[in-house]
Formats: sequence, structure tokens, C-alpha cells
Amino acid sequence: MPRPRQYNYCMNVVFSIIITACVCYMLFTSPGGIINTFMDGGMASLTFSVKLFVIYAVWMSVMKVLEKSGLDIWVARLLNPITKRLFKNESEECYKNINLNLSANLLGMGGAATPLGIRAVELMENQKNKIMLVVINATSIQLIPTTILSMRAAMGATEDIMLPTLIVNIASTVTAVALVSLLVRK
Amino acid sequence: MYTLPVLLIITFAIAFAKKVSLYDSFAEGIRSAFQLMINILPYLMTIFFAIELLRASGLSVLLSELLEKPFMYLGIPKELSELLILRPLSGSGSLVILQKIYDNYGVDSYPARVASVIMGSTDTIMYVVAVYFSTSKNKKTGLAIPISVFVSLAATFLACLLCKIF
Repeated sequence: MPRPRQYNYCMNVVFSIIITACVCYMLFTSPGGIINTFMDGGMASLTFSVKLFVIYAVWMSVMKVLEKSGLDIWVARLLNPITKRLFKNESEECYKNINLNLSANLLGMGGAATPLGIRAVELMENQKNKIMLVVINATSIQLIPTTILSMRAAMGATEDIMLPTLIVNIASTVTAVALVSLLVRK
Repeated sequence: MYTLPVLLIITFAIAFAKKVSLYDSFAEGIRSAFQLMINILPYLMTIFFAIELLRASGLSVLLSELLEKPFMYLGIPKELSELLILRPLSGSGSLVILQKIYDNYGVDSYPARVASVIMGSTDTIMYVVAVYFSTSKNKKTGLAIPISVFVSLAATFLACLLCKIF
């Protein structure tokens, strides 16, 4: 009897392959270090979470002020013509979060974008819309790669990577949107 | 540099005009961030387990050495194989490798430029998919990962091509 597919099917496959392969490999290289490696990973995720929490706390506070002042709807309206075509049949509240997620991403404010994107996916009814938003985010839509540019500047780079990055970004976002609308059902 | 402070001041000014309590808004914002972290943490930690296992076992190094040859046939510089393995998993991890590429080959070298473009035009797929679906009732990710991986690979080829032209 075929079993029903697990929820996070792909995540489960990738995760299972990685941890099984690594544990098997460590059996030969350092069998005593396996549990410690899990502990190190867990600690690293906690340290990272603390940093992430502070980033989200700052941005979500600012977003809260925007929301209570009624400014967020005003910002979100700018992108409505595009998003209402890409994501069909969702609530106004959901569209607002999609629009704010996309605009924060375009401006390179990743810390602000993630909580908005999570909220948008939470509010979505249609599974295809969820996948569309997640794929757009997972294939990067920022216009200015601020972190990379500052790293390159610190190393004294003379070559400019802005134009190729922008072209690749636009091409990949267009491809992603096309593939999701063609391949994902419903 | 001044855009963000100016935007913040405008926001606060409008909030004052509309008699919105900044203090309470901030407290609420921080509380929702806390709630969000609780929802995200389990998914975050699983990814960090995977990253740490890949690193500590030495499998990521082994894998990147194995992939150097096939990547070269595909026109991807072999210096990038470690970056390409870690990029979908870890943002901070792949930044460390990017810095290593800058240090080893020079920031304006061909591999370093391709690596920069890849970092600027792809994202941490596994992390984004896990976190974005973390609070959703229906967690079926469907084709989200396969499509993202395919698009990112295509972006990598395009980056290699464009860095030869520019």
C-alpha cells in the first residue's frame, strides 16, 4: 500500500541524505565526534537565532509603527498591479504582506523581508501562491547586493559586478516565475 | 547612507501626528519577533545540524573535490565547487567561502567575480523554504525546492558566461 507523502517531502529527502551520509562517513573518520558535532550545530543555530531575533525585533517594531500609522497599505499599493496578477484570489491583508515582502527584498532589507514573507505564506489559501512567493524569495530578488559590494570594496576591487548581478537576478526571477506558473498545478 | 535615518524620522513624525504610541508599537513588534523565532527555531536548528555535519565530517570538502571535474566540463571554475555546495544551505557559511576565494585568487580574478555574482543573485534555498513554510498550516513544499535549485544552477551558468564578457 503506498504511503501518503510526507509534508516536507523534499526537505526530508535532502535532510535525510545529508545527515545519513555524514554520520556514515564520520563512522570512519571520527566516530567519537558525532554527538559533539550535533551539539556544535545546535549551539551555532542558537547563537544565530539570537542575532536573527534582534534583527527581526528591530524591523518588526518599525513595521508595527508603519502599520499603526496606516502607512504600510500606502507603500504596498504601489506593487498591487503586479502582485494581483501573480498571486490570485488572496485576502487584502495577504496582498499587503506580499507587497511589503517584495519591496523590502528589492531594497536589500532582508531582515525586514523575511517576517513579512512568513506572514504572507501563513495567510495564503492557495498552495501554488505559496510556492510562487517562496521560489521568488529563494532565488533572490534584491537589486543591490549590499553585503557583497562592501566585501569587495574592503578588498580593494576595481572590477564592477553590479551589471552582471542585476542581469542574472532579473533572468533568474523571470525564469522562476515562469517555471512555477507552468509546472505547479492548481 | 542617509536614506534609512530620514525614512525613519518621517515614519516617526507621521506616527506622532496620528497619535500612535511608539513605545507600545515597539513592544508589540519585539513580542511578535519572539513568537516568530519560536516558530522558526526547530527548522533553523535542523539546517544547522546538517551544515555542521557536512563541515565536521569533511564530507563537504570531499564532495567539492569530487565535483571539481564535472563542474570544469560544464564550464564552471573548479574554485567554486565548495561555494556551490554550501550556498543553498548557509548564508554566513557561504560568505566565509567567498572571502576565502577573494583571499586565494584575488578579488578581481575570474573565479572571484563569478562567485560575487552568484552570491548576489542566488539565495539560501533550503533555509528560505524551511523558514517561509514554518508557520503555514499546509507544509507541502511541492516543487519549490526542485525549481529553486534548477533556477539557481541556470543562474550559475549565466554568471560564468557574463563574467567572461564583462
